[in-house]
Amino acid sequence: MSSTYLIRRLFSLATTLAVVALATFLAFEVIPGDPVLTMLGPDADPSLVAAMREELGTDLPLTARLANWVAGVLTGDLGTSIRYARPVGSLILDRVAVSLSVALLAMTAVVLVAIPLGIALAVRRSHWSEPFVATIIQVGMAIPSFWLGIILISVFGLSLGLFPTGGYVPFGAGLFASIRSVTLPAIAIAIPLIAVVVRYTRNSMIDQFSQDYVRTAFSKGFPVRHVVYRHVLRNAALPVITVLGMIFGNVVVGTIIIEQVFALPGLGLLLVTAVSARDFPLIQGLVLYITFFVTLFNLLVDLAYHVIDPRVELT
Amino acid sequence: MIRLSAGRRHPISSPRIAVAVALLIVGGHTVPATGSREPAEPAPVTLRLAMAADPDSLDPHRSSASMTEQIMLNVFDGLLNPTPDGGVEPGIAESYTISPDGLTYTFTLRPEVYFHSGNPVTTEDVVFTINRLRGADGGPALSSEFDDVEEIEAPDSRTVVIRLARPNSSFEKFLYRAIVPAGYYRQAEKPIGAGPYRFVEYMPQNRIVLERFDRYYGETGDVDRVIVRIIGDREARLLALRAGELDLADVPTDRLGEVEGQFRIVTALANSVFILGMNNARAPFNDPRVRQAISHAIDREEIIDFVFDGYGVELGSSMSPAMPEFFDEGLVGTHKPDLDAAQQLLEEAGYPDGFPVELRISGHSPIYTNTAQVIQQQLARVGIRTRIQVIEWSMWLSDVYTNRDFQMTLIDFTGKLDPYPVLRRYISDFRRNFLNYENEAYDEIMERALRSPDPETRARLYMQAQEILAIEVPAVFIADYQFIWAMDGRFSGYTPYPLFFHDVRKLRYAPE
Amino acid sequence: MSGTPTPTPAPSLLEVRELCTWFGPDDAPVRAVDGVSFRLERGQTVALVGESGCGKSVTGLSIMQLVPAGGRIVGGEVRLGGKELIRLDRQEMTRIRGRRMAMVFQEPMTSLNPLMTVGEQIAEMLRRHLGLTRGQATGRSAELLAEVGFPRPRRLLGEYPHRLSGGMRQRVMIAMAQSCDPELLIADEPTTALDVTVQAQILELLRGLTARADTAILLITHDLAVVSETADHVVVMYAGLVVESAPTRVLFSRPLHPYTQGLLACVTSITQAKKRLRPIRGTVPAPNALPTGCRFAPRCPRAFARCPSAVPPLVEVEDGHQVRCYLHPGGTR
Ligand SMILES: Nc1ncnc2c1ncn2[C@@H]1O[C@H](COP(=O)(O)OP(=O)(O)OP(=O)(O)O)[C@@H](O)[C@H]1O
Ligand SMILES: [Mg+2]
Repeated sequence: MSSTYLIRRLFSLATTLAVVALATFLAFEVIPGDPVLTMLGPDADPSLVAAMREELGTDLPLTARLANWVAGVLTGDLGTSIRYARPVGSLILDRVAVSLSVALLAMTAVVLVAIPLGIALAVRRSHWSEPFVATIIQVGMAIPSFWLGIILISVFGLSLGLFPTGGYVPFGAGLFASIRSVTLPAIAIAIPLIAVVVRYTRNSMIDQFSQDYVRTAFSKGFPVRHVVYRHVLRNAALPVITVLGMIFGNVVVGTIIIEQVFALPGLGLLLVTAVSARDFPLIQGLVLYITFFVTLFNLLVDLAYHVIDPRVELT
Repeated sequence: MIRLSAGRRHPISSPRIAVAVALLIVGGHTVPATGSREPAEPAPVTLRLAMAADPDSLDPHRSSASMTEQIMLNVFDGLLNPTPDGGVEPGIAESYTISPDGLTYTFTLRPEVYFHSGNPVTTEDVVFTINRLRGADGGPALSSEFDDVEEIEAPDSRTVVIRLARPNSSFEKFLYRAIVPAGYYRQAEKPIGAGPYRFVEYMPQNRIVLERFDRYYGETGDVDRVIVRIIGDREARLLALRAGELDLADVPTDRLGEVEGQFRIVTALANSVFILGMNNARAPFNDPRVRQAISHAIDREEIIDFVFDGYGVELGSSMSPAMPEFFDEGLVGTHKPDLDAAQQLLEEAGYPDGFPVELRISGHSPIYTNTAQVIQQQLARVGIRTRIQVIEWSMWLSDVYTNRDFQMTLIDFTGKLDPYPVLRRYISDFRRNFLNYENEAYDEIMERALRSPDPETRARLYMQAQEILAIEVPAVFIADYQFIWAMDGRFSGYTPYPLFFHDVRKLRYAPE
Repeated sequence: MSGTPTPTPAPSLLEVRELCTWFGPDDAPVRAVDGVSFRLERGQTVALVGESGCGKSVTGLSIMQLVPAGGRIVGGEVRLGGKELIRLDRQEMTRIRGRRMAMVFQEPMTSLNPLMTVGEQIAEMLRRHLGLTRGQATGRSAELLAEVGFPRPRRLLGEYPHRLSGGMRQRVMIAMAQSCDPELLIADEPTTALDVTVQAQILELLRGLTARADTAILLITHDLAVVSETADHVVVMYAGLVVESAPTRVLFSRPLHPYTQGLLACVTSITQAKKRLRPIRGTVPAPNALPTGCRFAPRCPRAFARCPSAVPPLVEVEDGHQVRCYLHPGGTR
């Protein structure tokens, strides 16, 4: 990997962020809605509304607001949230841990469950189980996460009392309790994605099994285990990694939805609130952050691809 | 036909009486002995309750959401404090007098009242607070309620005198606004008040924590600590409640069955006015006969049954029975459901075959979407063909409420302690008269009511104003629905107010 | 001579008897290999020749017990040193593959693992079968690569297959296959992808292998020139069946089957032998729509009434020379 490659990628990352930020800015220029009114509601006192508008500069023209915002971002200041009257940066930083623990836990669950399962289903293929497995996978992929979330809450939260029905416990209040508070949401996000990845892993494995190099490996006198783990797995991993890269986007969207269901104060819940509150600085900050993470993850996927597959040149 | 079986209707037969008994209905639960305050329990009592949205601001002067008030009224005390029957009683002011001309308010401060910071509440703080609200502290005015204040002074260390430029009969009710420490501008981050509970922490979209303030001048009840969980999703709130993670939460009427045996059920009128608003400036709603026809076509009882499962009371004008002093029961049923009358009126107005109309509503609450469907069917009976358009709340506020771009809409206005802000919405030149209602007689009555120092005259004028609204129908006044709270059986003594307020002081706790 | 103890002759290294490998559904099978028999002695080189699609590769894969998915051995025997392989369990088979017999596949471009270095792919075999340490295995891998003609074998160890040409990959495959000195090497068109000089080098290498390590070679090829130079014995296949089998010299001088004659007639010079074998008019019948009787009859210039009646038997016309043709119903003419 060359340093020019990295520079190029970083440049394209910056461009992506700029485009996304501008698009968001313009989108909310078109969508009606006034942050101050939305926050204070229909009974808001006119004096208070006027005072806040003045203070927040929401009456300024678009170009002035955009210029202010860009100037702020370039100096590392994402501005102040209208809804929460706090710096956007610190609001987001408070939430990153929540969303990241959900997303990473979900991602880990997907990797740890789906990949071995996909391998097992590929290696132990049998005619009678095939339609059965296919059906389960189909159903799994089709279940909406929020619905799964509600089911999980009722079963494991309400009936069995094993997990809280919602809310977030920060790391500081105990690692175990913290992980427990994000387990159900992570599972709710993970299950449909597990189905997707199982299918991909399985298909990719089966596909690799019919490759000539596998026959070579067997001809060399290796048992199935060795052939699977030393030869097939790495090859089968390539399409799976691509899928994992794409799935990260789903996980991000999944967290946004699931945070509602579990009342988890993460970036997703914040984003939804920010949008309905027309809290422009907060929306902009969040969009930047989320885009950054997704793009970064894709970069990591590309790097992983390069590490695994010598044929892939990073140019 | 959408008329459902009316089996689950819980009407309050005589609103006046019901309100007089403070609207408290306690579910079929063995009531633990109230008032049994055991000598110092070792374990602190925590009340865990749910709130559906973040506070708009923790700064009491920058907040206008009733949801925020529900919690934060525990943190702040005013010169006066609200009472359950819709009045005010002495708070930080131990006593007060109003001059006969209604222009001079003289308050004597209670001794030994402290802020949560530990500092005593002084006349300086009171003067600062009023000046901040009216924009006389160098900043912008934060409330138009204090526009009529001409002068405020503190002649001695315990007396504050407020002089108004002109009489304002609502002014007394405004005085429950929070008194805050002079020179302290960080209320939004760390609110400091003189109320029974002090603010501990706020994590947006997560929780607010309050703790009992030991130096509060009044009684503070059994609850030591309040944890307010912010849970936006109705379903999630209900689940958390059922899982025992909450002691107090709202329950949608249709889900009451799930919690009934397990919790103490508290219902209270919301003191709101739920209306079908019409754009009075636009044809065909500029013709009062059309509006009256619609009022006849709407069956309020059916809406209450279908949307609120019977938990609500019919209205006839813009006033809830939760305000007994101003509520005129006689106006209920001004326009009874009467399709013939409706048809007749439509014919007179030149719409014998009805007309198409768009009903623009916000999608943020199921009460709007559900009601819209009922109304759509009811209006169809007189040939009015309703198209329902659901938009986002924020869009509703800008398009419908601010730009007045709509034909018909639904909105639930939350209650106030004073009738003026409730009825002001129909004054011709009021900024928020988004229904474009214009009636000089009404405007004049309202002005006289506001300026009349005599309580009885004032009440009579407000009744007159309501009568005009009932007859002219700028909006169809549908109902005031009841709020339903499920509370853990160990707590008792929930006291409803005609404004949003979980008065934690009044709660009693008895371990099982 | 009853009573005289007849000493059991030492078994051939490889004996294939009536091997049948079919593909596809049972009710309409593709009979890719349909009763193939031949034997192979230690140190001997046997060539398996025939037109494309006649079942040469499937025969080789069946011997390795590596029939591709969808195919199955439905009958016959494969004995290696007298040991029947078809019914061996998987574990025993893994001990034989690579160690006692190895195969160089027809597809050099895709037969190496794209994600492993050449060195790793050779070394893993040495470590498994010969118990070499990592270091020893690396050293030996380099030697093996040198043997197949790579001038800088050490450098090659760290290369990935995609950086090598088809010929280079084929040589790596050969180096790998012979790495554990197997008793039997099945080489499926080992020289196809190579240019003439390398081709000669590889053939030399294979010959050296038989001479030095006593390795027997089953050489699958269409290149009759290569056959004449390398093989001791030739087995000619047509549509899943052996049609003629004879020592190389005999076959080249006195081919009996009209099909073999047709094949040889096409080779007028060594240079022309490089062309794919398409010597005879008509095409090979589809293996799922075989004609009754002699499968070559529809294309045979000398077919007569009896040919379509039944598949002719494979008869020994002289010592070591067998033919499947009604023109040669038994005994030498
Ligand atoms: N994987 C498979 N699935 C189905 N049929 C197959 C498969 N492999 C081979 N066959 C069938 O077996 C027949 C013989 O194939 P084989 O590969 O042995 O031919 P070959 O003699 O090696 O030809 P070539 O000279 O082209 O390599 C083919 O005609 C084909 O129909
Ligand atoms: Mg072949």
